[in-house]
Order: sequence, then structure tokens, then C-alpha cells
Amino acid sequence: MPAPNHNSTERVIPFPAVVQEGLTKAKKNDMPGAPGFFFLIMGELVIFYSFFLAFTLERIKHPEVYAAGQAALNPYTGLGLTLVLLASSWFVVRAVEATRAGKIEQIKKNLHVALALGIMFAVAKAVGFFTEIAAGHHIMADSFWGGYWMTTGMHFIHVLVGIGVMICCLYRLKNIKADPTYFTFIQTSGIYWHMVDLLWVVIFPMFFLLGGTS
Amino acid sequence: MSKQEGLSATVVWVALMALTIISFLAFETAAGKIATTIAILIGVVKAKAIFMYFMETKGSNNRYRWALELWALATVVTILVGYWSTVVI
Repeated sequence: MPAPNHNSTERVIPFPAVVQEGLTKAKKNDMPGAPGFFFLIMGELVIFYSFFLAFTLERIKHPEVYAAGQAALNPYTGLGLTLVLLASSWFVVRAVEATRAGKIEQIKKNLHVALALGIMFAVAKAVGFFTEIAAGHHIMADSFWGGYWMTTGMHFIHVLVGIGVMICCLYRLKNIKADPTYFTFIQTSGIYWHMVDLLWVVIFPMFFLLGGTS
Repeated sequence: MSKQEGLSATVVWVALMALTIISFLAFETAAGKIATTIAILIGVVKAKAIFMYFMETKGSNNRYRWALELWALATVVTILVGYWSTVVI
């Protein structure tokens, strides 16, 4: 682990020994974050894989329905949402690294930006949902929209949970000096947010770019 | 944060943003079987980059790391087999 930079004008907190043990990255048979958290991550990924599989099987049966549904989606919106979420994820990485270095101001700044980008994603997606409903593309419209709403709706719920978790990270930051579990908490929260990002980078090409049958 | 760690996360992030734009441009300029296949493959490469570098699982030999690899493989195979079965039939 790098030594804190004492030449910097920024406030650097010395972590207690108990936290130092948790500051490592994945090594050999260990995984980062809270013990067992990757069990939850894999559970989530398997659930989303079942959506991808159901979507794919339905698409094989009704390719023309899926081509029409995809044509109704705005790929520029999908691109914008992807870039916003990737940027948010990067700021979470920076916040975790700042925690590792003990730089409180950097943690705060990066978490605020990540949170703002996460909220931007959620608002844009919510506006997109309302636009789709107004155009008659509701969950019961056809199998494409059923799959779209199920997958992106579940993803949206995960985004909201991730935003809540980031707010918790900011709230707990106030007591970081007396909180030996803060690093594990922010690292685990980061892993959750990256899972949200990871799912979206698959959802984006699948729904917005998969195209027709030609 | 060491300069090297910070740089590697930034390089991965820039690569992710660039790959997103490349896959979108491929779709916009040449929407077809190959462009769509490239977009799906890029999506899974990005997913792998996220769990290796952002989730910090790179270097781990833990079973969950391999489960993530398996998930990425299963996802890309499922989507591509589904896609190609509709464009070929």
C-alpha cells in the first residue's frame, strides 16, 4: 500500500491498524469487499443472465417484433446513459483509491461527482420510461417490451439502491476516523455500483444495438 | 493512491469510453451482422474490464473470479447464438 503523501496540503487520515488489513486488493484466493459479498453479486448476475436468455429465446421466435421494438428505441439515449454510468463508475474507483490513501477531501469530491452522475442516469432513464409509456410501449405491449421493461426496470431499481448506498458512504464519511469498517464499506459499495455498470454495458448493445435480422 | 494505480484505472476508463463510442459508431455507420457482432463482443470485453480493474478482482484465483469469467462467456455466447440464429434462418 502506498504511504500517505504528507507533502500534500490535503488532510490525510492515518488509518488504524484494523483498517490497514482491509486495504489490499484481490490476492490469490481472496476477493475485495465484505466477505461473501461476491455471492450476492453472482446471484444478481445469474438473475440478469436469465433475463438475457429469455430475451434471446423470445427473439428467436419473434425476430420481426424485436426488430420493430429495437427500432423504436433511441440509440443516442442508450449511448449517453452508458457514458454517464461509466463516468460515475470511474469516480467511485477514484473514491475507493482516495480512501486507500486516506484523503478525505478526495473521497468526498469523487463520491459527490459519482452520485451526481448516478442521479443523472436515473432521471434520464425515468424520463425515458415515461416517454415509452406515452408512446404505448408498456410492459404488456409485446414480448420485446415485456423483456425490455423487466430487464431495464430491474436494472433501474439497482441504480436507485446504488444511489442510496453512495449517500450512505457520504454520511458515514463524517465519522471516518472512528469507523474502522469504512474502507470495507466503501469498497463493497463500489463493487455493487460496478455491478450495476457491468450489467448496463451488456444491456446497452443487447437492446439498443442488436438490430434487425439483416 | 499511487500514480501507477490511478493511471491504470484512468486508462481502463478511457478505454471503456472509447470502446463504447467505437461500438456505437460501428452500429451507426454499418448496421449489419458484423457491426452488431462487434458491438456485442465489445460489450462483453467492457464487462470483463469492469470486473477485473474496477471491482479489483484482477490477480485473484478465487472461485468467484472464475464464476464472473463464466458469466461473461455464457452471456456473449447466448446473445450471439440468438442473434446469428435469426439472421441466418
